[in-house]
Amino acid sequence: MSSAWVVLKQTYLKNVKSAGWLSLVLAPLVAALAVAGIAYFLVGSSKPAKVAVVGPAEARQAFVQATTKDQRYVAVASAAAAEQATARGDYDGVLTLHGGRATLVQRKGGESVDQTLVAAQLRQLATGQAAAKLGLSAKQVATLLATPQLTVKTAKAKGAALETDAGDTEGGSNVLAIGMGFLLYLFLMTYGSIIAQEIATEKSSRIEESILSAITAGQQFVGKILGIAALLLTQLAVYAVAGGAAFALHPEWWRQLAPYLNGSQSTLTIAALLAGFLLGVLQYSLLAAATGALVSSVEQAGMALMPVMMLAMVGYMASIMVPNGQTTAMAVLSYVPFTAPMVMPVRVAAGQVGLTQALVAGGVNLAFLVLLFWGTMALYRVSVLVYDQRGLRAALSRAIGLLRTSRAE
Amino acid sequence: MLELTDVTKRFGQATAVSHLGFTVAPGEILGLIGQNGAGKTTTFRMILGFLRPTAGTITWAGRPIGELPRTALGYLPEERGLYPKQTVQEQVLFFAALHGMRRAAAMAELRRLMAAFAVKGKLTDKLQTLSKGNQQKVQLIAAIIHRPRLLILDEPFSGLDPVNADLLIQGVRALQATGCAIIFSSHDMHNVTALSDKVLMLRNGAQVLTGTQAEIEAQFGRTHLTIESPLTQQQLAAFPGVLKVVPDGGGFAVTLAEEAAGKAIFEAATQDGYIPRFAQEAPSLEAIFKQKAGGDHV
Repeated sequence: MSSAWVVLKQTYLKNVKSAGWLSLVLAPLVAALAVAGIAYFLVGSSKPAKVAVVGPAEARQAFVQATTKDQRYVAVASAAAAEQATARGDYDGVLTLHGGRATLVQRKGGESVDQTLVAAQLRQLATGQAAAKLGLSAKQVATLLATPQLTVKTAKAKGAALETDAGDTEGGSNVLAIGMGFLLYLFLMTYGSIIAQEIATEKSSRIEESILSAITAGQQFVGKILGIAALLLTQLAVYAVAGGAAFALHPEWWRQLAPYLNGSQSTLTIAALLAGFLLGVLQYSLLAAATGALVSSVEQAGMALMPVMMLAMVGYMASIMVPNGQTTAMAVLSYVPFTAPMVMPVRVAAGQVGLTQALVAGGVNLAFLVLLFWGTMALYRVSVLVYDQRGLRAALSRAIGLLRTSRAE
Repeated sequence: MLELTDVTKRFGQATAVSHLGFTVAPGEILGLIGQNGAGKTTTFRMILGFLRPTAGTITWAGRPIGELPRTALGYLPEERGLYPKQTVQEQVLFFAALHGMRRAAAMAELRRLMAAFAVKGKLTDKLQTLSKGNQQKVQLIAAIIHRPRLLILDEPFSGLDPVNADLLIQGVRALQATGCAIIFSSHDMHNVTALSDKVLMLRNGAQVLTGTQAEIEAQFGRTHLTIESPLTQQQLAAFPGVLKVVPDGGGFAVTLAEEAAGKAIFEAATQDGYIPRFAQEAPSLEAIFKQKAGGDHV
């Protein structure tokens, strides 16, 4: 069995059985289930509000006819009777109409009365009464109240013209991209920390020497990175299964999402998001691995990771500012490694860049990833058995010195 | 056969190992002794490939040591460490797999070694639940389970009580019988004496002693005398060629400047007949170590 495979398997099994990783994976699912359960309970246990309407017969009748499944109106002859019935709990509120004014009294502890529905109905009532006074017909009132229809489309520049895509809704793509950016940031923080802690733990527990007597540092490095990648894929697979089950139980969610997933812009956005996710996770994983190799103890690993996390934060913050408009800084960050995986997909979603720019950014980051891999492995080789208590900067300086020395020899 | 030829290792201006040369044949045990910081661990790391020598060569069977498959190497580092939350079985099988062993064979060997070293604990116990001594034995098992051809043990007796030290010696001898070349370091001269076929001493990175125990002792001559007789301490000290006389379990230990000085003492001590103890021998390895390290005269 290949040594890297042995390390991969050991890294994967050690973590996948750990309480820490299991709670990391299950926590969002449990939270989502809890929220869904609470929402279901609240929706299921809530009833439409029931409002007693007191006032002129015509007005009472208008409200009764406006009853919907969300709010019921019941005509009551007198204010006293309405008050007594409400106190008994028969109604959730009393709406008193007198002249051109209305008063709504809500019962504490009763169902919540939707005031916007009441206000809308009042406006309608008032409009009808005013129209009647002015002697307007129903058709004339309808004409008076008609609002022009507004149609919204998203278009991207193509040469000197604008090309619209019927299936696109820019807002939806932006939400998707920013959401994925947050997910990427979350995964970076989590798995970057896992990798750095994993390496720092082996180094500080001195097991590293025993391991490296059996395999090369390069083989161990590759096995470890792949083992962590397997953990990440397992977590994504769990969420994919959970999400698939949820959508299978609620097919109407697909219909709601479909408009955001149609169209060439959405296809490019999804492709950019997937590529950005993969490149981002790999870049930060390697950076975290280098950090873990430089520290001498698990305690140092957390502090050493701070710059990495801050770098990720820069990328994430930049990504959520993209929809505000194009700037030179955003343009640069969408190509620069470590920030590009988060920023470029959002720029694609916002229609600020097209396929060509996305491909250039992808190429730059892929080339950087290859260099980063070799550089990190070289750093890992010289650092993983070196213990320097002076801090990260001193350890990095020493590692670079060792790299130069080993090349000279 | 492992061969180091004129090996030097410098870290910047500091020389950790200087012009070191020795061989260890299959089935031979070399005891590497020296003070802390003498260069023992650096030497081990160069043999293992963790460090590259600044000068000199390290070969196995005439080929560069880097060509020796790592599956043929076994190493017990001075600073012990395993995964504390993993079970004994998981850890040892992991190292066995790293060295290319199949699971079934590794399990069988693991059970055998657990019994041979009398490890108190089950295979399913987490390492952190075992005592320190048993943890060390588990780590030793992880280092030798794959029956290496070259085994390096850095301070293997550290933390072991005499009973477990004897078990370790038995285990190392069993490996020796399979043709394994073994190098170990220790500060315990008793164990070095008990186990080594030959000894090499480092001081400040340089080789100051090498050879079998008999060869080393022969270099110093029989200048150590223990005696139990009617002669008093003052009388013994008055003999020509006597450097030091100290009480020693009912008698005295006498340090001589030369072997020949012992004859006069023997004749004086036995002039009235029987004496319970008279032994003239080379200084102990410990005494030699102290002398070479800059301590008392032997």
